[in-house]
Amino acid sequence: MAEEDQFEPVIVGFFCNWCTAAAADLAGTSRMQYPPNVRPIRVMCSGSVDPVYVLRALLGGADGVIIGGCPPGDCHYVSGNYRARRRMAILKTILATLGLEEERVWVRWISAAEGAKFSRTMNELTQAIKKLGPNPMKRDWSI
Amino acid sequence: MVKLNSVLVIGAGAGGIKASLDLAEAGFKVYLCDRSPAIGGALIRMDRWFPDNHCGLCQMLPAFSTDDSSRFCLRRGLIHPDIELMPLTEVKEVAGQAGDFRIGVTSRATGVTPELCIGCGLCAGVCPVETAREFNEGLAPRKAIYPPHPGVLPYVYTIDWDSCTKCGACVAKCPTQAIRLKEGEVIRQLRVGAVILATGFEEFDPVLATQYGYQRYPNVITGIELERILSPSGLTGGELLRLSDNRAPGSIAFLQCVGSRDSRKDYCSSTCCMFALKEATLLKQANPQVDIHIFFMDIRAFGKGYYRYYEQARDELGVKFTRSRVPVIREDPPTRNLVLTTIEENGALAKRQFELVVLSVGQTPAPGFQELCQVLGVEVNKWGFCRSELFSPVATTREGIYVCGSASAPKDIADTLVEAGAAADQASGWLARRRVPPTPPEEAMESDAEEAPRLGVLLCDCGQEITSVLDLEEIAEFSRQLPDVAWVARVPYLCYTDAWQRPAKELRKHKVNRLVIGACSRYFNTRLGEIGLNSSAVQKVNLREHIAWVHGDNPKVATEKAKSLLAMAIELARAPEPEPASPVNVHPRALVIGGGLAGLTAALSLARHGIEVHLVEKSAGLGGNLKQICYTLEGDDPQALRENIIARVKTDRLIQVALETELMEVGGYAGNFEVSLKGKESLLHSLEVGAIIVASGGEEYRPTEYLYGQNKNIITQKELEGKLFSAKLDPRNISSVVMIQCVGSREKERPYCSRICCSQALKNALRLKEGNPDIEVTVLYRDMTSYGFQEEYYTRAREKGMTFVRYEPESKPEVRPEGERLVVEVAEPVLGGRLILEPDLVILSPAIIPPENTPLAWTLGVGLNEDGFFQEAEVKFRPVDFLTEGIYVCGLAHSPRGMGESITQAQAAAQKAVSLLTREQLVSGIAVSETIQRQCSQCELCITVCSYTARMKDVESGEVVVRGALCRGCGACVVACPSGAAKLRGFKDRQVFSLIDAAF
Ligand code: FES
Repeated sequence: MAEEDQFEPVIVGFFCNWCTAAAADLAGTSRMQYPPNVRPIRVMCSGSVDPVYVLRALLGGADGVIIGGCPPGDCHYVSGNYRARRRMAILKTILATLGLEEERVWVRWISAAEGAKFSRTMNELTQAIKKLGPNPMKRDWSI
Repeated sequence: MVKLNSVLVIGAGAGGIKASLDLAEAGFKVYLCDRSPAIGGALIRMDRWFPDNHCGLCQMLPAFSTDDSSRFCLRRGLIHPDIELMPLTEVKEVAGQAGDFRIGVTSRATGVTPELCIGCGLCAGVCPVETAREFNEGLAPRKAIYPPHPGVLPYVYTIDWDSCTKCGACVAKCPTQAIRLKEGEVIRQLRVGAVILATGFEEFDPVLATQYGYQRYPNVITGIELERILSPSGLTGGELLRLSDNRAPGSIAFLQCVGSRDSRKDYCSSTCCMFALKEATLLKQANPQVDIHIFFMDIRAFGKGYYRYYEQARDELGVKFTRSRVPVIREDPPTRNLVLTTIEENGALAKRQFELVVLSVGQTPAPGFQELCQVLGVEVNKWGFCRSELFSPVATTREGIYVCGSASAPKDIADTLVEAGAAADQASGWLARRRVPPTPPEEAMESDAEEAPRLGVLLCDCGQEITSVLDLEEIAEFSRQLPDVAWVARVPYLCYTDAWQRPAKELRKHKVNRLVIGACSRYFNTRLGEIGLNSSAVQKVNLREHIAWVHGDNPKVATEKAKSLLAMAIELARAPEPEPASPVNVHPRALVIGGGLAGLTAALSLARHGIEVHLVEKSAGLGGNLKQICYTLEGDDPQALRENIIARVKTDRLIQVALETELMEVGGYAGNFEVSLKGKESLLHSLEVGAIIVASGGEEYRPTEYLYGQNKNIITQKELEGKLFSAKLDPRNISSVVMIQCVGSREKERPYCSRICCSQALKNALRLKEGNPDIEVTVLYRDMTSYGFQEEYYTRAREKGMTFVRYEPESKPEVRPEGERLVVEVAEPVLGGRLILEPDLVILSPAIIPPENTPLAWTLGVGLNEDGFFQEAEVKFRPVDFLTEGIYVCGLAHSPRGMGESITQAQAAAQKAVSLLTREQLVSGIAVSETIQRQCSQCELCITVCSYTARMKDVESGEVVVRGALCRGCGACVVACPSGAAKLRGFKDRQVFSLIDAAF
């Protein structure tokens, strides 16, 4: 357990401008505490997250990745989130072949009103990644 | 007379916001005032909407020149250079006339200077007053000094003077001296050309319905309270718990028509059925076990897609429906459950117990509305709503003042937003257009793509809000080491008015051409001009909301996170700046398809704004369905209207009408369509237009049921109307008629309500009674859908002795000839017997159906819904738009609707087209996509994924090209492209990679 406590994972978050990034702001103004391990990147739409970006993050040593977008049906660009969901489902099948646990990649729909869900998700994600331990890439390879 | 270019919109709810955005997009200056401290009205207290359970507020933001307005969720606020928000403001005086009003407004002081308030909240921490909080419907307490709602931008506090005790604790605590405990008003004179009244509604106060025990029984709540409880930003974070014991209720009853459809308020609030259905749907989806029971008189699901929604709730989700009145509710003290006494349809009394009761309260005029109308000099109707006429639904009794939404009659958001568009259209007729030729995106002063990046980093202390958690000195030091960083500075409060003066000088001195700001969630774009940079040269990191305020207990790791985020932003800022995409020209000409009421109205609106219109009509004459409408329920004269608008269309030199002409082909895109038209006799000819309005209409279903066509005494409502009007039929010669509703509507093959047939039946029935008070009229119906003020006529019909007998869809009335007579037999669900009638006439109310729309939809490249009507971009928030920009829809082509509703929708569609066509050029946003031609394999995947038809194959070059003006910069194509040829300007893979790499 002690090791787990010390391990501070680095998680990359791709958050869509219209919903999840706004939820992050709302969590902020509502001062909902969550662990500082997630590095948010604002993207216009979850559908603009290329699986290659996720791989880049994981191969580069990120311990986890989360993609946050608008709830199904609410994407500002109509269907970007559905495409994101499909892509990430496929990506997960590839992760295994790289020796990475698919649980390192999360896809969550968090609307602009869901500040609490945002902070809860960040908490759960950080806990889950801490449990999984550091990205094995960091240990096995030197990049 | 000089024409002004500004307009005042009163009320910043759904209608007010939409009208303001439409007007600002069309190039006018808007003052948007509201009595409350923030925009949003009823809109931001709801999270999802019927009939799709989605949120779509952001769809209201401009589709063209997207960078003009703030690009974030409208719940948080709205920033637009042409919309001046005036919170806490009321209209006190109106002088002048249409085109030149002088309006005196007073704005109450908020007590907090917005330029000084940093939103730290220390004041609320020391405020001793706790009071009910309106955002959460009084369910959660708040302080007397508070942010209007938790997500508001800018995040600034305000004082509620009614509960403030002026103890001064907050003044002493405020680190920025932003608070002044002095009430006061600022009086201003506005000069505007027109006014739009969009004050919305107030919910009926259920305390007045004492029999329900609202406020006496904690587990009796209203629909909007339920909404707030269910909201993720609400009291319980989205979990439904009873107020009495924090337990999740297992059974819930909804009571409809509380404060509507009774003797005091003899109108229908039009929205409560759907609102209750939505709540029930969301509750059932969250927990299928919960028992939900709706007690109602008639389900009025008359909007587009609403009836399907009702069926889904009933048949798939298992929401129970009982037709009964509920005269009284009592609490069972030990359990605090509620016992409902119900009077069932057959008159039997029953008692049922529920753990929670939700009252579906109706809409009433907003408080102070009468006084406001007096100030404005507009009349109200007998219910206290703003008076308007059926054929000019958004006009008030005073020229130049328009109304939209629930201010004139109860209505839902979809109808409100259509009216808002129409009001914007009508109001802009009084305004001077000041559209200046669009300038290409401003050039950055000191920077261009070739120049080496020199970065500045500006960090805000935010008093101690950021520094109390983050070691800003360490962060500043870290930033200095990063590549291309030329200058790093700290400011105590970056949001202050004078905060940018010194940095501006320093920036110039250090020749900084890109800037990274580390501050809060404030919108700094409007201030970038002061430092001579444009928004694409600036990156922002939200050190406060994303770090300091949420990681207070872990300063060390938080500081590390801040460093990473700054490093990432710096990587982005180092990237070369995009060259602006070149603007495209607009053909200032419109094509209107369809010469019925909607098409004619749209054409006239367009012409009024100086747009050349080509109106094509398939048939040999103008007027469409209007030809056969002889009178209305409300007593208007449709034929006079028809003659008037046809005459105006024919004499307008800007409108060219082509009869017996059809659209054969459409090429191009918004602003630049090329259409081919074919007349009966003439050859194919083509035309360049900037916008297309689809008003191709609908038609009446020709019944195959009830022996229609086989017996001359079985006719449709329209036929009856014609006969009565032309005096071919004398009511005195008839002794009884039976009307059958929902013929072809609300059936398996047509699961929608045709919306107008109930009012049509009432209108004809009353007409018959007028001609012969002794006629026996029996109406066989399923749900009488006399929504809004039509309810009064339903009451009148009953008073006049008409009989209304309900039938179940499973046991439809049977019509058969018996010798000379007609016999109608129907199972009477109330008493359980069978009713046998022998009327002289059987009158059917057939559905409104779409014509075969597929070929036209194909030609236009737009979609149809399951019922064959045209499919708009978003059911509520973009009701007249298609996803393909530049094409708009109105009238029966969209869905069944009444005449007034067709007129408003036509005006709303015209407004959209005008706002596009009065642009000389379309300028694209900064982040638009492009194609790297040498990498493109022309697989066209990018064309498929684009929701906005911004990508196309150029016929001549064969290349896949981007129509910059249509691109919204979502990046879908970039990810879809397998060869890396689709790119967002200024956002190349390389940059994203270095950005990601900087994260750790
Ligand atoms: S905009 Fe949020 S997922 Fe597409």
